[in-house]
Amino acid sequence: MSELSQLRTENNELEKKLTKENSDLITRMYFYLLSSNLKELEVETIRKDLTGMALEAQQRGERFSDAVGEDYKQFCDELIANGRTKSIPAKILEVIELCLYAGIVLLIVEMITAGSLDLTSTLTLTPAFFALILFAVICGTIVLWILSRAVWGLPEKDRWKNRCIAGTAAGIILIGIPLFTVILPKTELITIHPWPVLAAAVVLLIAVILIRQRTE
Amino acid sequence: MFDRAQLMKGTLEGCILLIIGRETTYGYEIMERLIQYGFCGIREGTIYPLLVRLEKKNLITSEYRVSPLGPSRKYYHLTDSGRKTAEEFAEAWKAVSSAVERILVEEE
Repeated sequence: MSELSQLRTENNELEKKLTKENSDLITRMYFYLLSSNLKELEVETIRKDLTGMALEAQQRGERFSDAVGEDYKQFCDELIANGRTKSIPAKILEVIELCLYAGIVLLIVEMITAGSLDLTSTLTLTPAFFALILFAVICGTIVLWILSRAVWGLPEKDRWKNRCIAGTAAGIILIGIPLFTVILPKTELITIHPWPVLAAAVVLLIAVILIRQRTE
Repeated sequence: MFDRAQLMKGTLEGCILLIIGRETTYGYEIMERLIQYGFCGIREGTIYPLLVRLEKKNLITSEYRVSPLGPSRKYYHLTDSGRKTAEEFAEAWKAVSSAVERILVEEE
């Protein structure tokens, strides 16, 4: 088990000892930090430290929120500003991983809709397929960013702004996916045997995940 | 209006290094020491981001040790460059504080 996975398992166990209030607060902080540029190992280390601080506060009969201060977002922003950030190769690997996830899901959908499920069948991919992978990655990133900001609750004026942004994003996703297949040319870009490509993509995804864990 | 928090921020890092330099210690204890020395309004939430920053700059290192209160506690100690930085901070602070002191005496 990698250091990251071990730490994550340890943190999940440790968090069970927290009161609901403290557990909720740490989960919100964790989610916010995960969406930042901090290394995953750094985020897990911070989570372990914060959980330790919260448990000790509980033992002393104090509130963890009193220990960190009322402005949780500012506290997390300070951690983000001071912690170890992802390197450029790590960021590239993260994007590759997201593209592979999206590619695998879309390939399976394409195989089902085209009826190319038997082992000898072929599948023709159009530019829309590759554009959709990119679109899915960008939308996923935007949605995650919006959700991570929403964990703190928002002042009334920002709440409406964020609802508009989330609504627009949802609209773009709903309209965008079918639109891609209509707008983009039906040119046959490449014809593949889907099963070997799917297997290769899964192997590549596992390799990328392992490399990411080792480089953390 | 004078920004007291800004002044504290600048000196807190150096003070934390000096405290850790005396003995290996943990976040809550550092906070208690700072309060004892007269730093008011300090919480663990003020100290922890600074400890993360000092560790990133390789001025301190840490290890987890079993705590009497249950979960493992993170203890910090100075690295060689941390020791050097602490000494430099002490020198710089003495120079600044004596300069400020002279100005204050003249004003009186």
